[in-house]
Amino acid sequence: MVKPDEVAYYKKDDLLKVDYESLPATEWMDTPVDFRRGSYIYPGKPKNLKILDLPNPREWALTDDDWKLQENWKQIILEGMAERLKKYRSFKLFMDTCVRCGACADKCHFYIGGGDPKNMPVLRAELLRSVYRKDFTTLGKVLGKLAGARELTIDVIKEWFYYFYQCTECRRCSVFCPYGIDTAEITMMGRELLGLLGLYINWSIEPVANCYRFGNHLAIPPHGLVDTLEFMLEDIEEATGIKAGLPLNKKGAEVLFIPPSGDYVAAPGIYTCMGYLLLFHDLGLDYTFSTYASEGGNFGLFTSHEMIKRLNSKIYAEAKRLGVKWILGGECGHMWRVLHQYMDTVSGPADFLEVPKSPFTGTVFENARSTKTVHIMEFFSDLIKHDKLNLDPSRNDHIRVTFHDSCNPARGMGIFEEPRYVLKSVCNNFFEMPLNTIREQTFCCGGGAGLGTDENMEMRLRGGLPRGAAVKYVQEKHGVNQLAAMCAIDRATLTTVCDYWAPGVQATGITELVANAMIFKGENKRTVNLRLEPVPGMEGDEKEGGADDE
Amino acid sequence: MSKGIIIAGLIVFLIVATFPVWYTSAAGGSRPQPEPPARDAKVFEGKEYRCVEDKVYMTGNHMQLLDNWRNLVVREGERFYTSEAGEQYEMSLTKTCLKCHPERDRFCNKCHDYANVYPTCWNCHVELNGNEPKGN
Amino acid sequence: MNAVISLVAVVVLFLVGLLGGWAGILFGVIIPYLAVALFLGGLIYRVISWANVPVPFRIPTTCGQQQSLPWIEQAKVDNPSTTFGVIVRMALEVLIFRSLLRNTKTVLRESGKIAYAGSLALWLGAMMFHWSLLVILLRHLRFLTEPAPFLITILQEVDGFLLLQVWMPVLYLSSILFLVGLAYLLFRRLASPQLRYISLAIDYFPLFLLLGIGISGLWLRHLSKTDVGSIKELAVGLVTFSPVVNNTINSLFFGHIFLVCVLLAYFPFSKLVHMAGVFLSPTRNMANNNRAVRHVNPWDYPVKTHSYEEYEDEWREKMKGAGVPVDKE
Repeated sequence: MVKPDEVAYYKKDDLLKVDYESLPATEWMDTPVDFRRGSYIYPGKPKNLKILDLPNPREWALTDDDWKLQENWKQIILEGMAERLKKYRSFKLFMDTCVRCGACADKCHFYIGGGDPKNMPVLRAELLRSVYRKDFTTLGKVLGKLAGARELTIDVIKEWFYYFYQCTECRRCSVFCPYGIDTAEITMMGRELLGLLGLYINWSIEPVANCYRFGNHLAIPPHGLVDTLEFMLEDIEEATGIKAGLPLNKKGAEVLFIPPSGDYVAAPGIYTCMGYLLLFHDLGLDYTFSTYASEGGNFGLFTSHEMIKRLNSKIYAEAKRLGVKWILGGECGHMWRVLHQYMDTVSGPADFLEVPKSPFTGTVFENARSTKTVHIMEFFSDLIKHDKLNLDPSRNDHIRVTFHDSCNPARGMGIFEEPRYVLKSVCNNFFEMPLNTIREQTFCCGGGAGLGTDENMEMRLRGGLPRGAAVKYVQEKHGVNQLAAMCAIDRATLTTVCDYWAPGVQATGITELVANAMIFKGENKRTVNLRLEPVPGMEGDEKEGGADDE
Repeated sequence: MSKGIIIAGLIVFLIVATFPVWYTSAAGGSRPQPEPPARDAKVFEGKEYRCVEDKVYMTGNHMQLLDNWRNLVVREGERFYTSEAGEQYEMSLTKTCLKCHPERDRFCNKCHDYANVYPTCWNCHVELNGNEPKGN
Repeated sequence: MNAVISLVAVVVLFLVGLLGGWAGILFGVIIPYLAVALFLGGLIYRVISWANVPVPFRIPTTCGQQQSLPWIEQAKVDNPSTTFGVIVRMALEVLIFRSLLRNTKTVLRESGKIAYAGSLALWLGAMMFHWSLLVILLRHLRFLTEPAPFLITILQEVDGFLLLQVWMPVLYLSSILFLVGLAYLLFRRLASPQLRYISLAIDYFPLFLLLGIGISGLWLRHLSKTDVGSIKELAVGLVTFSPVVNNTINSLFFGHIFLVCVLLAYFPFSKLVHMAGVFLSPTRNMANNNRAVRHVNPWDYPVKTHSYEEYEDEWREKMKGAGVPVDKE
């Protein structure tokens, strides 16, 4: 019996029956939420809430009538809204300025792939705005429903829970909004408010609890991390013959390296992690991993602003304790939203660090002079520009690669050229997906913002459709067989998306491709890549063999 | 954006939005009254003086009336207009209207300048203020 | 239904305004003063209430290449890192609706293929409506100023000339663009099932109100003409605080002006505040220099964290066993 959390449960033809114009007979305010298996994520477990001292830890289920909220839940929400309206100009402004022009509607991947009107960003925000109007605006108080105001009820809370956990905070809609209204801000507020009632999804609150205690989302203890990374070192040696080092919690290193923890355990992320280990070893970078700050990702971003800070504080604290000079961040999406847009504010100033300077090229990363945190693609592109990496892109000639801009680095940072420069330097066959699906208009993988679990499979497949269709397009047009993404969540979720919508295309990290193209000092004759798969064209006696290389 | 910049922006907005208040108060023009018809007699060329239509109508619609006259005369070749009151007038700016309102500065322009409208009548017509016709 | 309620509301308001012919002081003086006071006071109140709320984080939506390495070309406007870049970005947003200009229409085919077509109708409608509204407001300065500034006269002459000086009095291009723009904005709201679904009564109301103002204004200029001199006398009187109401002004004018008053009074309490709000949007008006210049959150507070000491205390033996260096032996 196939279950709704399995891909096989969903027939493509069924998913593609999306009729945007068939709308519920009732107005949206009067249309209750339907908790359909496969389209929602299970509640946060009480143990996780307790680790984090969050309110109202208890066992409950979305399909229960009684969500076991606090007695004064309504007061909690309204006071929480009032507090946030005084703290976030974005929130207050975005509640006030929307004109419901609808330009955002068909920009959301969940709406495109699902057609549920409440997945139009405008209606997602109206879910919150309707309550705001009722309790905080004159017009709403006077005109009531005519002004789009409605009473806060338990059904509204349920609706919030369903739809604020059907938004991946990807900010695509905000690119198109004439007032710059950012649904990520709305969703973050909605989730913070729900959190006041102890309403979380386990798929994000458990990583938060893990990260708090273990230093990473995946609850890998320090000795576990040693095992994991040593296992990778063995594979590296098998693939290349190189014995790379494993600097962990090393005091006095020049650079603290922070990857997303997804790259420690799950394929294909692990190959990217192996790439980091190999490249840093080959370069002779004086760096260290940290077990305490073993996570660059930050599911606090999907929980509350306070939680961003509670988790992010580890990075600077560890940089200080270890006495490093600057921080290098790995390939991760939402991690870079936090490192770029939040870290300095919540955990800075990092005045104990130095302005990052590449030890190999002397390049000073002026754009990171305050946070002292450099993106690995900035670091690599500078190295390649200065010819410091001994690359043979023909080793990747069997790969026809396209690049998926991850939402957060795209729209929260604008790192577009660096990854492309690196990719084109290590792959001879690079093809762009259609313009409306890349760069600032890139589509979410469908599983960001803590929604990348199988429980949510229907929404992931629907949300992944726009990306999947774009991949399929370049697959058919250019024979693309790999989809590179500099995001750990992408590498996990796009694997599912591609298998479903564009079978035959594999997800990969960029560093993996760099490492596969790299002629390492002292490498064995390379016949397999980091996945230990034979590389076409390298089985024979061609001169690419590293043994001949100086 | 800092509060200071926003307040500065608000002040600029207020200055712009209240432009008519401070500009008009400073410039301070008042409503001019057009001079009454030049001929003081109630009787003109043996007829009792009366404008072609009543004053309220003429205030609002004279431009339309003149436009119609122009079209009727030039395009249809008609010469005479029958007013609401049933009287006949020759449809001619010069021969009819300007008889009583001969000077553009003393009559037409008073209102036109105030309302800031600049009709093109005088591109073709000449004024009969004692001067010889000057052509176009 | 929401549309019908709004239409009825505007019609009723218009009829109320027509009564102004019999109560000139109330509709010509008292209500306009109240409306302007509500407009300016309300708008200031609204903007100050936004300004009083801090911006805790720097969250620009970046729509182009960041400023990073010197040899990588930055999108200086769509992803500005300097104040000048932000000013240009905001100017484009405010003057030509840059973000709407990106608009696309998404078409999902049954095969699973998706097409994205440029969709500029909304942008065009919005540009037509907003810019002609500005021109019309400026043209109306001829009533509110004495003598009218030269530039206003030029604007008015050009506006009239563009439609080849048809009609008497001249038909302005802006009047037509205004009504066509508004009609399109209303049409799309009614024609698209999705837009109809998200539209509230308060979305239709300003559209009908503005249409009412535009149509009554056009009617007043071209069909039921009235004594413009007396209207100007009233307007100049209002702005110099010595209003005079002549009984030569027709009722239609009062219908027109009453709708304008309703719009002014309604403005600050409705979505129309987007006029001011667009300037304040933190996703647009902040420079993306996050890693170069620290942004301070004024209400930042200490939070409970899990310190390294606590972490090492929990895992010390395991760390030592795995060869990971520890602070305390």
